[in-house]
This record gives sequence, structure tokens and C-alpha cells, in this order.
Amino acid sequence: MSIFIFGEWTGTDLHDSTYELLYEGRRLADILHTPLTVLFIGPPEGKEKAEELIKYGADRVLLALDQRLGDFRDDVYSRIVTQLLSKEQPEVMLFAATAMGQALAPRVAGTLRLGLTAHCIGFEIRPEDKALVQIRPSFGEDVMARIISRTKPQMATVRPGIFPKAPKDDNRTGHVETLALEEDLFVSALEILERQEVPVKDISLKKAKVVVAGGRGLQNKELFSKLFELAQLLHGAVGATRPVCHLGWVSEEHMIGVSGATISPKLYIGFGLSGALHHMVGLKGAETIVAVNKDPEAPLMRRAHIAIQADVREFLPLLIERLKGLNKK
Amino acid sequence: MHIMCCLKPVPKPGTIKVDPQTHTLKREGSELELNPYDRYALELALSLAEDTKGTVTAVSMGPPNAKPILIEAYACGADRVVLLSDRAFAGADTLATSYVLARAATKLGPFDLIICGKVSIDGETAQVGPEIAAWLGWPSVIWVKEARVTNKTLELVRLTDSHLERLKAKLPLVITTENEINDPRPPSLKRLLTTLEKDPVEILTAQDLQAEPQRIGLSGSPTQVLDVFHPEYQSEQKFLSGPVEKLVDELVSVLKERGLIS
Amino acid sequence: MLDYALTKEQLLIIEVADRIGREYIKPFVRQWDEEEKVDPRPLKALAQADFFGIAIPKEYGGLGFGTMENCLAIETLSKYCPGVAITFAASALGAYPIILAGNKEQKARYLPELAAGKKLGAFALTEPQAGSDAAAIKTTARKDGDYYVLNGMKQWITNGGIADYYVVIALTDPKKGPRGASAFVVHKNDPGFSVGKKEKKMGLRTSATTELFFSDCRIPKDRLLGREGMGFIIAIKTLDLARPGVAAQAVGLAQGVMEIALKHCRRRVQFGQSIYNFQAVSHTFAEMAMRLEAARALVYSVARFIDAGAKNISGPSAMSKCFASDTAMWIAERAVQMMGGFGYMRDFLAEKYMRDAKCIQIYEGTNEIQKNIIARELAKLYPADEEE
Repeated sequence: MSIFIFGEWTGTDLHDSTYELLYEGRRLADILHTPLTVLFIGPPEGKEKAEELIKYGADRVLLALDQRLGDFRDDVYSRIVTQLLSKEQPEVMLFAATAMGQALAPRVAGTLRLGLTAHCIGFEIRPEDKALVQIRPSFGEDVMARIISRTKPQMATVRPGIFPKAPKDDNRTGHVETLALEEDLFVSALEILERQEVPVKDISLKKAKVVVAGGRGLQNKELFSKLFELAQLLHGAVGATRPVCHLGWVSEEHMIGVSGATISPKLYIGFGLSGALHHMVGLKGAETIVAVNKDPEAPLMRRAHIAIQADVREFLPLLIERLKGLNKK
Repeated sequence: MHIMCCLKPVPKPGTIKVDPQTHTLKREGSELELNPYDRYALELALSLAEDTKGTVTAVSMGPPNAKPILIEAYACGADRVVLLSDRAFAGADTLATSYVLARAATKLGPFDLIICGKVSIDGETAQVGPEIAAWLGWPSVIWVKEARVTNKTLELVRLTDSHLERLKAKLPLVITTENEINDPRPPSLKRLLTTLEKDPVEILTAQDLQAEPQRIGLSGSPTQVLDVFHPEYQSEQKFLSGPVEKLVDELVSVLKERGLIS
Repeated sequence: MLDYALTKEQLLIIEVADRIGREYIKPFVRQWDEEEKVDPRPLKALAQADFFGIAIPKEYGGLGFGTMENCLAIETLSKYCPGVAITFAASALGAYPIILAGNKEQKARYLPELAAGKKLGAFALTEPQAGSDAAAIKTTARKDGDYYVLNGMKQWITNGGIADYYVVIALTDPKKGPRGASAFVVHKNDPGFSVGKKEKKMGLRTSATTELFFSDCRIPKDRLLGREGMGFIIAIKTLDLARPGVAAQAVGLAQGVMEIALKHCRRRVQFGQSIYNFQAVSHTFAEMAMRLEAARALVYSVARFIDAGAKNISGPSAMSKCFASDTAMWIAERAVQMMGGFGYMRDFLAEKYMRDAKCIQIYEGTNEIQKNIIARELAKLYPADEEE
């Protein structure tokens, strides 16, 4: 019985989400009275940081270190994980739903014929059989689903930004083991030629203090684009629902929700936005939620701290006008 | 280059029906459309096939009412369109789905490349592509932005969380496409008109695919939905209605209170 | 509301055109209009969907459909943007003279490329002093051995600057006036040919309208369509064939703007209820729907009349263009009015349709000229000297 989490190397540091996995992994391990193991795959320069994960709650850190692991090659990485899981047979294996986690977890699950639950936002342990209950928005319905897996290890990817980061405790101790890696693990169909940092298009949705978001209720691209004017006035960022991104009103970088960003602003204002669960899971960290909608029964209106029943087509232009007036003064 | 492109039928928003027992989607009862993200995969497949004088086989797993999606793929230029349809496939999770698609790749191939969309808008798992690769024992690359064929290898640009990576991949390979990487073409009228005379869709069952019964549908799916629930939110709420000018004033004073405007 | 018993093929054309409208036009149309931009993307989509081949014979790579199908395509596209629709339709206007008067070599040379949308066409008749009085054109084409040498200018040419092939009407024998006119195909790269300024228009701002200049523009003699002196007949036949398309553009425009206004008025609440509940509003929509359906029925009848092989189509063709465009202008104006302030704001598109509609009353022969044509045809039917 053991819980495994995947330790992700970004090229220069551990990924933030690794610390979030440690937080939730620790919690689950304590409930199950079982050790928490981090599997770290990366180049030798990641060793120190990985070893330090003991202080963040790991009981055991397994290191797969090799210069050739500096590049993320899907086939090589998944071979290492697969081999280790077959040997160690843990109860649970968690990955963050990062680019790497999403590339890796399904390859591993497919190879070992395991169930895999994507983008989980919470876990429970079922008391009667200690099964891992995985929580994520359900398919199609506007509800959360509790999912279990019949196969072991029970695998899931975890939505980044949902769990807090594990705190550091300098007094914690644990074991560090370096894995012996056979040469044939490194056979690969992939060769990384070049790596180039993507200039993060600074819509800074994740860090914004104010987020103004719009849904289909804004009727058209023009009205939606008024949100940018509003965001500027409030020094905030613009968010969107998935349907709006599909309509081409705004690029997908603005998407909030299951396949978009998780935000934690002081204030979130949703305009003409019904509040499908797939969007709302992205609002987990929002301090105050304001909804503006004509329909008082819309889910976001029911959830909002401040629900304003109004026609967004009138409300939004008027709000912008009012704020501009204030600025002039 | 011979390419298989996986296209997922997803319920049109507003027509979604869910099985109350298993909490899986009932695709038979829903009006289906092509997962919008898969259009980028299909466009990439068609343009790579054009560049290499290859072929595209478009494959969907779904009920008979998913046929129009494949007719559309045919009209867009797919050489062969195949619907994997069998009652026994119902209730499949990603593992059982990817198994069936991998069987199809074996049955309909050989293929050099399998292309899937980034993620489906109903399940949003993004797992099927890499899982197909796992069943076939092939390498996989996700979130591909560009793909170009050079001497039997594929040169790719993929997106990671913080980087763009250029890489070279040997074939065969499974890739999933990043969104908005191309302008998906509309169906060709000429090809569409021929479908009025002759239905281009081939239908294959579990038996045709020689699929192992314990690997497909609900029985081949390790994950199960136990139950569903409505997340609970805070109960304290201010509800405002009335003349719009007054409402704007109220919001402005909230903004002031929180120090978000001066 | 009405079912016009369209064929399966015709329904497919509408379906695909509607899809192109929804996906490749609608999301961008506001921006194109603001920027007066001709975006190549919807044109590429139309080419990929084989639309440029709708009215071109099958043997030349087209779909071999008739006026009706062409009208349905234009109507559906116009619902989303009459400007994009006219760019599309003007290419067909450039193809018609070749279909009507070109020889086998010319057809084989130009039509497959135009049908595939790989090349775009345009038709150039109007000149600064020859608008409604088209016979007053001054552009000349002088024979010089195996060449013709063109001199002069054309004005307000749709697709100017973006077309690859221009069918140009020029005088080969200026002494004969209109009977001395001939039709030529000019390529965009021909020496001595250049494109002048792009006009700034009130509407149809998503389409290109320019001047064309010919300064000792030397083209091989095999660019002549038909024979010398046939230019005007070719032009008139082309315009007769194209007019139902322009009428269809008006019908689509009217449908588009009516839908925008209708959706708005159903949702807009004043005095505690949807403003559609007020008869001043709902009756206006009833009136719009009636007139729109009448226009559509006329356009479809004329298109079917032409496709049935009718010879004298000038009168009906003029009727469809004049009636549909007047109807579209009326509906667009009413739509803006029913939407009130929203109608007047550029964010809500109704005003764009109103600006676009105005042009349809003016171009391809002003509606006054259309009435001249109709009156002339009437006079032929009812000679003054005929006894009761």
C-alpha cells in the first residue's frame, strides 16, 4: 500500500503543481496510514530539489536521473513510470494535469490497462474499502461526479491550481533512492531539436485581481469585446466561457474552467454567463463573485455573492461609461 | 503517408442525455455533431495527406446517428470514412474507447500516423490519443502545433506549459493537435453531392474488429461513476434588481468598497 | 415560412453556404466592415467548398448548376455579409461572358481556374462618364497585328485589385458607338494594366471597388471574346443573367437584418414586457416578412424561368433586382428603427445591413434604369397602335 505522485521537472525547477500534489497526496496518505512516494524523472541537476521534497511531505523520493532525461520524451518517460509501477504496485498514482502529466498519464494507463480519471479537483477515501474516490465535473451534466477505478494503481490527473502547495517542514525525514536505469529504457522515436520559451501572452488571467468574464449572453463579439475596455478600467483581465471561445469572440487563452484557467481574483464579474460547472470549477479561488444576468435562475446567479438581475447589453455599456466618468474626475 | 484521423461525435449543446444508472452519456438519444477541436486534427490530416500524396481514413466510434459526422469528413476530403458502431461499445471510458480505435487502426491500416484532436468538449479528458498509442505500442506527442513530413520522419512543433519544442519523430506515431492551428476547410459541394447517390460510410462492429468482449464498452472500462452531486456554495447572497442605472451604481460602490477603483 | 420545393442538391448548397456564413464570415464581419477589409479566408473557404463552380459547366470543372442554385448561394451568404457575397458573385459575373461568348480554348483556359476559385474574376463596363448610360464608354481597343492595345479607364469595378481576370468592354470601332464595342479578357499582370484607387464606400465595405487603368495595355488577340462588335450584347446578356443574383443578395440581406432585429425585439424588455408584444413592433415584422417572402418568391420564379431556358429575360430579371433591393432597403431601415438605439449602434450590425442595402438599389443598373427596362418590355407587349 502506497501513494505515488509524479515529480515534474520544468527544465530549471520543479513544477508548482508537484507541491500541490504533495499537499493532497500527504492528506490521502495520512488517511490511509501509508507512505507517500514521489517519483522524480529528470536530469541530474534536479536531484537537489527533488530530494528536498521530503521536507514538503514525501516519505520517499525515487530518482530517475540521467542527462538524457533533461528532454521530455514521452516514450522514454512513460517506459520508466510503467516499469516502476509494475514493480512497486502502489495503490494510487497521481499526476498533475500539466502538459507533461497529460502526455504521460494516459500512455502509462493505456500500457498497464488501467483506469484513469482526468482533471480531478478533489479526492475522498471510501471508508469501507479504502478506495480512492476521484471527483471531477461530470460528462454532460452540470454536476460533480464521484468516480472510482476497478484497477490498481488507481490513477488520476489533478487539476493544477486547485490544491494549496504543501508547506515546508525542515525537520521531516525520509528515504531517497536513485533508480538504476537500464540502457534500453532510453530507446526513443523522438528527438527534441529545439526548445524555445513561449512568451506568456500577458493576459495574466491567473494572477489578476479583477477578472471580468463573459458568456454567450453577451450576444455578439462586439459586446464581448467591451469587456476588454472594462478590464482596462479595472486593471483586470478578461475571462471567457468555452462556447464563447468557440464562437471566435476571443482566443482560448481567456478560457476559464475545466480546459482553461483556474483563477483566484479578489473580484470576479460574470456577464451574461449562465455558469456551467465546467466554467465554475475555474472560479474556485475567487474571493467575491458577482453575476450580471437577466435570468435569476442561472447557476452563476445562484452561486454569486452579489447577483445583479439586468440585461447585460444595457448594464455593461453603462458601467463602462460610469467608470470612465469617475476616471475623468 | 497513410493517416487515420479519429473524430469524436459529441452531443449538441442542449440535447445531452445521460444514463441515470451509469452516468455515462447516451449518445443514441442526443443530436450529435463533430467535436469542434477534431476539425483541426482533420485539417492537419488532409493537408499532410495532400503534401505526401497519401490517404486519410476518418474513424469515429459511436451510434448510427453519428454517420453525418463521417459524411462531413468525407465531403472535406477523407478517402475512407468508417463508423465503429456496436451496442457493445456503449458506456466505454477512455481505455475501452482507445482499445476499439486501436483495433480499428490495426484492421484498417497499416497507418503511418494517427491524429486526434486535443480534447473533446464533452468528456474533456484528453486521454484517448496517448492511450491509442499505448495499445499499439507507438510513441505519441500531444499538443502539436505544426507538422511537416521530411524523409519518413515527422518534424513537429509542440506546445508544453511554458515552451515550444521542435522535435523529430519516427513513424508510426500518434499525435494530438493543439487548437486553432489551421483553418479547417468546409465540406466540398462536389463530394457532398456524390453522397446523395452513394453512402460513403463503412460500418464496423466489435466482431469485424475482432475486439475482445471484456475490453469493450462498460465491461472494458475500469472507471465507474459512483454518483453525482451538486457542489454546495455559500448561502449568503445579495440579490439586486431594478432600474439599470441604480444597479450600475451599486456595483460601482462595491468596487469602491473593495478598493478596486478610486 | 414557405416551402419552395427545393431539390436535395439545392438544400445542400444552402446548408454549406450557411455553414460558411456561420463559421467563416459571421464572427469577423464587424471587424472587416470597420477596417474596410477584403479578407481572403471566406473566399478560400468558398473555393474549397466548390462554390465558385456552381454556375460553371461540368465539362469545365464546375458543378453545372443554373441561376437558381447561384441565387441560393448568394442569398445565403448575403444573410451573413452582402459584401462577401458580392465578391463571390462578381467573380461569376466575370465568368458569365466567357461562358456566353468564349470559344472552346478560352473556356478551357479560364473556366476551370475560376470554377476552382484559384483565380478570381471581375467584369468591367462602367466608366466615369458611362454609368447608367453604359453606351457612352470611351475605353478603346485598337488592333495592332496579333494584339489589341487598350486605352482608357474603368470605374467602380467590383473585385478590382483582387481579381486575376477582368472581362473588359472596350470600343474596337469608336465610330460605331455601342455596336463597335468588344469584350476582352485582361489579366492582372498584363503590361499597361493597373489598378487605381480603392473607393471608400458607405456600405459593402467588405468588398473591393476600384478604378482600372489601361495605358497602351497590350493583349494577344485571342483574348477577344466572340467577335468584334459583340461587346455590348455580351455585356447586356451577362447583366441579365446576373441580376437575379443581385436580387438574391437583397433577399439574403433582408433575411439577415430581419432576423437580427426580430431576435432583439423578442428579448428587449420595456414597460415590463417584450417590445415585440407591442403591435407597432410586431406588425412591422409581419409587414417585413410579407414583403420579404414576396421578393423571394419573385426572385426564385425569375431564376427558375431563366433555368427553364427562357429567351427574353430582361424584364423579369430587372423586376427581381428592383423589387428585391427596394424591399431590402425598406426592411433594413425598419429593422434599425425597431431596434431603436441598438439599431443605430455599430456594435449591433443592423446599421451595416442598411448601408449595404442602399448599394443594391444603385449598382448593377440603378433601380431607375431597371424600371426603364421593365417599361420598355411592357411597351413591347402592349404596342400603342394595337387595336382592342
